[in-house]
Amino acid sequence: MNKQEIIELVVTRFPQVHERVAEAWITLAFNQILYEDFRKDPSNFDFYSKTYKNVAILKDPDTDIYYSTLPQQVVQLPDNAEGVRRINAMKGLMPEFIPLQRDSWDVFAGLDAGKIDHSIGFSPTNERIEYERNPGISKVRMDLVIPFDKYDDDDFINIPSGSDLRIIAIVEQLINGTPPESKLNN
Amino acid sequence: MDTPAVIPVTEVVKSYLNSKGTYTKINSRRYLQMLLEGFGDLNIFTSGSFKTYYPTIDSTNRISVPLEYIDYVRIGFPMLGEIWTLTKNDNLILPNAMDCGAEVGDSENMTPIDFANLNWADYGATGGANFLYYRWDKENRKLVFQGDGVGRQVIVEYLSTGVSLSGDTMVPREMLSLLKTYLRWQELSYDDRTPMNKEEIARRNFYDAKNQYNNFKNSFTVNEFLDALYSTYRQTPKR
Repeated sequence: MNKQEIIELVVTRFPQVHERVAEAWITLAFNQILYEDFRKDPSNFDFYSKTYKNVAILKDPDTDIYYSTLPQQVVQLPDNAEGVRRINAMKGLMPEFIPLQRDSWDVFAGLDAGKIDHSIGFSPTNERIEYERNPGISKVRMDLVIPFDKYDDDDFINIPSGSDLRIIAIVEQLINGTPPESKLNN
Repeated sequence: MDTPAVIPVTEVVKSYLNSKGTYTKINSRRYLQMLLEGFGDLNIFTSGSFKTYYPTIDSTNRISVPLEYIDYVRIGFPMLGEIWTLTKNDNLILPNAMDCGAEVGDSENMTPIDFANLNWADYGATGGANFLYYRWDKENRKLVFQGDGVGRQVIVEYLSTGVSLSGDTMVPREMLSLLKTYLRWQELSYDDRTPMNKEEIARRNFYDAKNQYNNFKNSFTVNEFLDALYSTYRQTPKR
């Protein structure tokens, strides 16, 4: 199903809900489903990621840190890669990018692993991805897990297997817990 | 072509991730550091592999050792294509004489040993006599010699961690299982939530792999065994 079809499905079930409100509820439900699925297997998120190509690597003149601006907001997931599931060179597998906590940069700088490992650590921050050192390339491709409301209307969206009804259940739960619309006439 | 006999240490981490069935790389550098520490320990305590260094004894009758030097395996002098091992003497005075801020050694250590009067052909002579003696000066990371050593080239076989910071660190293929079991054990032991029995099984797996590795390393062929056996045979009458 594409994004619009999922919204329409929810609106059909709950006609009192506006499409934009339904989208917001589905976004929350989707985040919850992704989180639960991630806890089961964090390495199998290819299906729920969206690929962004030709993301530029820039150098911050104030800090000399290499970074890429996040092409889209990402879902927060409970590991140091967050919703940035993979970064690769545009072609091929080198250099290799690995997710690192920003604090670990200092730790690894003093350890043998930091000296002999040729892979490039990256750390997602609020708006951008910072690289531990110069990746030596100008553009990368990224696989990002983005929130439901950031997909285009006609984007096909994969729902984790067995979670279709769970999304509806969560949305229902959220809608039923919503305070009724204010009828007060000012 | 068969698979190579040595593999980069980073490939061991990847093999471990594959065995775990976890392909995310969030912990790969952490694993790499644990692995390097384990590999270093195994090189020092278990593997028996060493590096060789050919320094020339300086004017103070000493040699500096490389930064990665941990301990010597053998110190010798090249003679007729073999290593003439030198003798350890912990009674040597560690020279600390300085002149204008420069180390000048100790003249007593540089006096040639009177080889002719060592009496080692005497019926009462003991072994362990040599023309050059050494002692490890840990504080200054130097090997100190006594005897006619200045300007001579010696051979130092020494232990190191085997971890190269300047190039790729390569691991012998036969250590792959050993290192992976080590990594598993360490990963579990640093996780406070690990049940004790699970950690104990991992520890045993490591020691099983270590025994397997030692058996492989210390094995010898039938011909080597026969050579060792024949070397004890002699034609003189048996007593």
